[in-house]
Amino acid sequence: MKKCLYPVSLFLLIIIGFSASEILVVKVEKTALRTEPRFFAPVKSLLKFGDQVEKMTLQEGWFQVKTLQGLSGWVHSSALQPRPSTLALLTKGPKTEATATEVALASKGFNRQVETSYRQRHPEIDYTWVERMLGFKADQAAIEKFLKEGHLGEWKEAK
Amino acid sequence: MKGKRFLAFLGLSLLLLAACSTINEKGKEILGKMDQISEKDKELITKTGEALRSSFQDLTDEEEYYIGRSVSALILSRYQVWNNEAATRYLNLLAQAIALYSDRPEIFAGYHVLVLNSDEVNALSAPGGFIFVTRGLLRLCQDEDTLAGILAHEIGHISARHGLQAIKKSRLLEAFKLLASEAAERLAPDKMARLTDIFEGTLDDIVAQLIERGYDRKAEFEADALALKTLRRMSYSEQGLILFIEELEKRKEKASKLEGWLSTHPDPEDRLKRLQAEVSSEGRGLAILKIRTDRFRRVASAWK
Repeated sequence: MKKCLYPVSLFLLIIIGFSASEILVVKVEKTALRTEPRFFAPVKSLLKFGDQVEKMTLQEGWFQVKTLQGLSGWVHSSALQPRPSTLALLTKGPKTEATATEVALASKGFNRQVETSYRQRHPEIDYTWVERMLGFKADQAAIEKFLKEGHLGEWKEAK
Repeated sequence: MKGKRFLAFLGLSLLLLAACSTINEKGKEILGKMDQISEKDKELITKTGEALRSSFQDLTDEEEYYIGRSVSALILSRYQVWNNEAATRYLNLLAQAIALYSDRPEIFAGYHVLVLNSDEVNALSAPGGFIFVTRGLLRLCQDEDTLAGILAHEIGHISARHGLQAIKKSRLLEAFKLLASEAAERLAPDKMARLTDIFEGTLDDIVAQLIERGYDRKAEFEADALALKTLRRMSYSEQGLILFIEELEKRKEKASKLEGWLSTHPDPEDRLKRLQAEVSSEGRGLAILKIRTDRFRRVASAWK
């Protein structure tokens, strides 16, 4: 009888493991799924705001995740936030803090519509330079070259 | 006999694993169909979520970005932009490299820097990654390590959401309450008008803090500590930030151009004491490399 408990325990452990699997949501406009937990690792795929991934492990600020398409890789934790499990979401009982912020992700708030409404009231406020500023974006290769040249970060010992 | 039991155990375990795999696939299927949950459920979830929000920490990265965009537009209504392509490219490259080593490398739409054409010595950071530095401040910097220290400090403010802390709690609570009361996809016109009022008040709270009052001492010291941590990770000399504050301290009695900085930052002497206590012996000892100073000087000749 005792021996029969082994597979049952194993089954329960797996079930617990599954139910503990956590879904994370991309909270920034876009981010990259990388092959290793570092910014200069090759990019496997791009993720966009609202995309959901399954958390596998967390290592020094990087989540190893799996996408819905089954692609696994690493995403920095500052680009992701927790989402309650599917079951919690469907049982209409979200009660945790994580749930509050997660749900807010998909909800109304201080968003594009509010900015539009504000700008209609204040047509004198000029956003031209704000838009231009958002276009100032150094690409990853330029940042890597800059760091290498300056003996900085991962290249601090570079000759 | 033992072997048979083991085989039975293994067989049953494999069966159970297969069952779990099916469950797992089913879970993913449900997950993939998240968009298909009923409108009623969506409404309930949204309302509950909004009702649970209670502080600036509950604002999402997207909301932080939209607040930051308008705060930036208001800052730019008070200053002229210095439109120098080489300087802007260098500052953005530097800031975006630094951000990767900060506590918050990813932010809704990234970190961006713009130079303000003002002789005043000042740096401002709006929520959501918008950083503004004046030409007057750039002129005080002697090398890249110092400028890196200043930008790391501004990124520290953004990373710790110091700008959002200025929003009056009552305003935020009213916004969250209003959002919780409305389940429809789009807000009704009267509610949108009220939310816009609150948004406007929110911008006023932040702009007043950034331009008139400045962050409190606790936030400034926290941004300094975050800057030191970032500089250490990158191997920039921590001495750069200290040299800059020393320069401010030397000039504070006579320089009217420092008024903006002094009214919005703690006394340089206090900051210096703190920084000197926190700087690591390793960070202090790191050399300000010539190669970095050389590339800095090539760009700095434009703002001198």
